[in-house]
Amino acid sequence: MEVIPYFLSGLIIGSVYGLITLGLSLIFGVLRVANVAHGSFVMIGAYVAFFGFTLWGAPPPAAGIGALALGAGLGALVYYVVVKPLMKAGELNILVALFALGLLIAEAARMAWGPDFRGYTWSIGSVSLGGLVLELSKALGALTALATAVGLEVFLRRTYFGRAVRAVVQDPVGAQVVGIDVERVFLLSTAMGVGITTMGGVMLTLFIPVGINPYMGGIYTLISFVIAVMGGLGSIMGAYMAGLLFGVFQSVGYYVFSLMGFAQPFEMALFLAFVLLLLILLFKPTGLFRL
Amino acid sequence: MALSVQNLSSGYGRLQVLFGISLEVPDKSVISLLGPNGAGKSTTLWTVMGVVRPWEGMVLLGGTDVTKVPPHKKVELGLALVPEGRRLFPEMTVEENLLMGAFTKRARDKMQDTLEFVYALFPRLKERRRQKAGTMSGGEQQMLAIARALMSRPRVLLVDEPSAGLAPKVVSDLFQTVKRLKEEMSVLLVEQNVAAALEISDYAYVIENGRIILQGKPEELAANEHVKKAYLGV
Repeated sequence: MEVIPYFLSGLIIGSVYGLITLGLSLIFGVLRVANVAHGSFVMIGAYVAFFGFTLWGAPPPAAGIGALALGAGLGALVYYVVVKPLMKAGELNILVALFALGLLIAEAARMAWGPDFRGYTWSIGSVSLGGLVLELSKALGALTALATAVGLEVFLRRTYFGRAVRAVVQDPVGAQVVGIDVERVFLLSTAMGVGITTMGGVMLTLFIPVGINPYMGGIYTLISFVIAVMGGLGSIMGAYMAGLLFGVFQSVGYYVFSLMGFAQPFEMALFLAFVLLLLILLFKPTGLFRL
Repeated sequence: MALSVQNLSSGYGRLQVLFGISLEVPDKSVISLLGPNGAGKSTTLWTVMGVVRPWEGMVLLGGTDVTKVPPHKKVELGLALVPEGRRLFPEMTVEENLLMGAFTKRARDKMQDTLEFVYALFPRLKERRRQKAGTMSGGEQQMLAIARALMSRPRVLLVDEPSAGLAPKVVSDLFQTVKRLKEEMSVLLVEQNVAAALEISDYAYVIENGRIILQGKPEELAANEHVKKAYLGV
């Protein structure tokens, strides 16, 4: 079974896709706002990993914690500066403003750090698993993603504040009348969502051999949207599971297309993943999971 | 006075809906606010709660000015709203919805006692406590909406159109329960079903086009020519 290693590596990268999508899904569920600046926060996380490693020798797990804190701060700032003032103007205005913010962040990053691709290598050995030579750094990235998804889900189900978040997702007016400070939930969810996204950007650098650049975010905005919709917008475990599914489809798709020997296997694999999205939306338009 | 609304005006955007509403809800009473669709009944409750911002006038809760207090703090101070359309958390179970009702610090401490109280009031909810709220019948959802509001231990309960969409038998059961609540608190009931509301009220107001046009004891209103013609169909 030559396909098994592709399946496994799909799960590994899919786990990180899931991680990157958690924040998008959380913010959408709570604020009903699609964060189109999403990819730019992934990019910032990637630069945190790069500079953390090259300037201070900080390993990616440490950079992940730093990125989580930095991202949370940025998220709070975005809430106060962009989202809250535009709340009354409507969702479309917030959407356009966030789109502008995403471009602004990417351009600012280019001015600060230049347009070139940069990369680093963090090697902690590898193991052989079902025909796949698995680098431990990637395994660590995937496990961090899994732990974050489970941790967030437990937080939302078991803690007082987490229940308030779920209440706002399910009915914001109902949440208000039971005494939940909805604005505080908005603020903290945006902070958490952007923080997790930035941390996701750190873990992503373990997987992209071409390195990072200021414009890398775009494709991840796209992929995260697909995964979030597949998983059921606003559903945390849904986003994670759909991330795994997306990763497996992409990876196994790559294998199948490279066997067939036509077209570019990598592009075709992405194509296949979007076909999967279409099929899911046709047969289960609310996504695979629900909060 | 448990709740006193004085000269309250509000609206949406530039559209004014309420024009100087005044009403009083004494301790341990059921007061009704009656009127046709679009008269401003729900807007009155939303404005009292603070979800809709008051333009003018005052809201006093137990004598304290709470006009500018945000909704979540009003719940802490003892005001609870059973909103139009119930606004339950559909993916949570009955019991989870009730526990969310006790979200404020004051209510949280007494949560177990209050839970027993509302289960005694609505035994049906206890039977259904593990069912998802979104899958229940309209009458059960309305019970749950009231029960969830009670979980916050209110001094004043605002109830918006509890009879909407329910069968007559269900409505009369529900109203009997509302009447029993006044042993513990005050109730301000908004209704289009005038006959049913008058039956359980101590006093009632009639609102039309954002203004209170009539008020009185239920028997006085039931005898009023305008009320008879417009609301009671006699």
